[in-house]
Amino acid sequence: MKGITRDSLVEMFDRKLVYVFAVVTALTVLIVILSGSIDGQIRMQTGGDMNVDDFNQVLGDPIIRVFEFFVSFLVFLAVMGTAGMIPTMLEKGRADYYLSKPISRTALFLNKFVGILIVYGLTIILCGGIVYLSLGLVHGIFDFRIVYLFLFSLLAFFIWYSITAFAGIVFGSNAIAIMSAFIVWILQKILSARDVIKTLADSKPVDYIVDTSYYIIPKTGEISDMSVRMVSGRVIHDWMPLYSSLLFAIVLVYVTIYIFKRKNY
Amino acid sequence: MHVIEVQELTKIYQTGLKKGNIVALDNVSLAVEQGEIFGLLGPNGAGKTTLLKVLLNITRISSGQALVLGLPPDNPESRRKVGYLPENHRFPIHLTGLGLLEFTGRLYGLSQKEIDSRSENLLVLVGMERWGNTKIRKYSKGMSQRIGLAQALISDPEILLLDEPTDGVDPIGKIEIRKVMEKIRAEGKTIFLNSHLLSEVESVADRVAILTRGKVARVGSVESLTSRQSQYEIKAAIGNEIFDIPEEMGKRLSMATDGMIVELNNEDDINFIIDQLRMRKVKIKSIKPLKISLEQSFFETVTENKEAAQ
Ligand SMILES: Nc1ncnc2c1ncn2[C@@H]1O[C@H](COP(=O)(O)OP(=O)(O)OP(=O)(O)O)[C@@H](O)[C@H]1O
Ligand SMILES: [Mg+2]
Repeated sequence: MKGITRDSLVEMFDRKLVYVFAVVTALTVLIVILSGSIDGQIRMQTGGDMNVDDFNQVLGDPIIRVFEFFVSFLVFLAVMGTAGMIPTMLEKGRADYYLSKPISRTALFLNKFVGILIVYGLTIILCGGIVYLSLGLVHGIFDFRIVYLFLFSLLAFFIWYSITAFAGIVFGSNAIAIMSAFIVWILQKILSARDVIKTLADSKPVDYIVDTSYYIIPKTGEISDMSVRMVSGRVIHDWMPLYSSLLFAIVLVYVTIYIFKRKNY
Repeated sequence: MHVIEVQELTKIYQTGLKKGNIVALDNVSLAVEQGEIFGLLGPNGAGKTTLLKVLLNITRISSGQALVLGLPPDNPESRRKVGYLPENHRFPIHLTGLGLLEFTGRLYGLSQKEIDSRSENLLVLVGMERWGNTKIRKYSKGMSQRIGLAQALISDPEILLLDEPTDGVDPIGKIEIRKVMEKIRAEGKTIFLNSHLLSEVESVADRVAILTRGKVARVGSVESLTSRQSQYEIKAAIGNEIFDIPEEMGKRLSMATDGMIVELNNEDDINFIIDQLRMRKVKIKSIKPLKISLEQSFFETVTENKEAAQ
């Protein structure tokens, strides 16, 4: 359904979200340009050609960390900016408009959901492309691995969006949709310190609860770390955080549709 | 053919645990014929909007059955040939009027060509040709009502469901909307009209149902709801020619030298009255069934039902 995808794009423009993305991208490019001064330093050490590995050798992680920060920031903005889109669609008086059309609720939800993912994807390709080009033009680095940052952010966005969409459908509220993302984020932060908790509590049931929650709650923070590892050419030993989080999101989308189909508006 | 058929339909809204449930529709049975304007009247909270929502699967049926163009509401295809103007609607306000028509057309699966050719005509039809490129956010209430009517018509629907279509529209706009409804009926389409405005329903609807507290209290043609079949006003030079009406037949409500009002238990007995008058060589000028306004009929139906419920 082209209609809904295009409408999501129009709506994101209307919400001025696209401009925020543009500003963040511009800032990232600025960082790239400013870091141009260290360029000579690197070239002196490596003698001519460079790739990201050399870059990393000289700088350590910082520059990639800066990118990661900006990409995470993009995801954060996108989650906040889009959390309201499904509750808005189902507001009193507007739900009537959408639901009275000859589309099943499953199709309506998936179209809106996928539409927003596509719009985010396009934005990310654009932002990523610009950053990639500027890195190439300023530093002469054309290393495809930098794109992983952006690719992984699409996965992270999908996971976050499944959470806000779920809360948006169940509670029909913009505010609760946004809050749900914060709650999961806080849980994630708490669980990332699960070893500390386990040591402190020193009890089997607590261990069990903490471990189970860790496997269930999506781990976008770790996914982001994984993308950094990929870019800096390090090995990823455990893909579990990625696929367990994706599984979580897929199940959640399924449950959301199930609930949506049974609701009265 | 019945384009809308509702049988023993009940809708119960489950509210919070304490407040209990709300029975919005209670065993409603109705059938709407193709090509008619069917008016649904009822006081606030009677369940009029709920009935439309059930037909569109916006709200789910609790028990009973509904068919729209022969299909149950949970089949999305049942909505393919249906246009809907919701009550208190809020369209996607990031769109312009034309944008709304285009987006709506896409939701109905129309081609760009169909959308373009219909949009222009519809804007003219609802008197919004000057506002097509303005965002809906900036529309006045009456304007958004007009664009709402246009979007309901974009798919060239067989059935048009209108919930308070003239709400917030100025008097001229009301007349225009009535004309639009008549035009659509002339094309053989069906209109289901929810309204508080009795005069509007009276002037345009072919048949009317009165809904109170989720129940259909009366249904019939406007004519049948407003005529008092048992009461007749007889204009005749009666003078002193007074005669008795047998008690089992009915009674005289008023009497004067130039006429009387009678109430009969059986319509056919009007002939007895005529015979009596003619026997006495009384000249009859006119006999007509007494009419009440739809408003009166509505009021009586609703109060009767209230009393019955207490
Ligand atoms: N979503 C809902 N949840 C719970 N109860 C509802 C809901 N929608 C409607 N109701 C209740 O159902 C009853 C019928 O409401 P409905 O909106 O159908 O009435 P109506 O006849 O359209 O009234 P009005 O003339 O004011 O538009 C009311 O008692 C209302 O409180
Ligand atoms: Mg209503």
